[in-house]
Amino acid sequence: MPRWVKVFLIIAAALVVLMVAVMLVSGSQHGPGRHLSSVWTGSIRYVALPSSSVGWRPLW
Amino acid sequence: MVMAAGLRRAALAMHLITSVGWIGAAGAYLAAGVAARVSDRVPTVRAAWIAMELIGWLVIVPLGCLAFLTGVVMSVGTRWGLIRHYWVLIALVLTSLALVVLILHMPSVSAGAAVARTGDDRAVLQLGGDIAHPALGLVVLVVVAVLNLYKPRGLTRYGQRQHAAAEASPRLGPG
Repeated sequence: MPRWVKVFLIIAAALVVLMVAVMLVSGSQHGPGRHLSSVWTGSIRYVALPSSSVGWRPLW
Repeated sequence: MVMAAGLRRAALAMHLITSVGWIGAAGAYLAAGVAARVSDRVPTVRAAWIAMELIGWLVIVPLGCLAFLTGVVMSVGTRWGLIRHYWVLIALVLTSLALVVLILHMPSVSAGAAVARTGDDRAVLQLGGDIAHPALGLVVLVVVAVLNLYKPRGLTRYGQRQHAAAEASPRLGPG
């Protein structure tokens, strides 16, 4: 494996560890699991809305 | 399977346009996300979230899908291959990751935009912004773009085996 790939992987792994640490320290509920869940509230805070108002709809 | 030169140029043009467009659109999304985060004006936050939803679904997602598909076509249809070179493999993994996170994240953006359209002022101000996703996405896309430009050397094990097999196979000489 070339050296640049090793360096790249080390930096990527360090960034992932850093992100996980930041999420754990900040108490954020964010993470891949949130994206895989069908229902979440996550970091985007919003109030309850009628179900018909949630989701993309064209504005024109 | 190697594409003909004309087809390869067309695919390369498409790949460049969609990839760079993806980066630009992500930058526009980030600007809206920052505006929604830092502004305390309700109309600004409403407009920013609606813009983020429109830019996301109508520009970023299509460009991301096209950039991914044209990238795969370019890899398979040229000597680079999809998993022969480390830079192609890493670019493929990063692009796939960015695309999956993007598509999984967009419904939450739509939910935020729905609040921006119909929620009361207090709910709109509680939305905050969306900075981490576009910022990290931009970093990933720029890394992929740099890999595409510099094409650093390095064959994967699969690439080395293919290279060795090609060297060992008998070649037909002229005549």
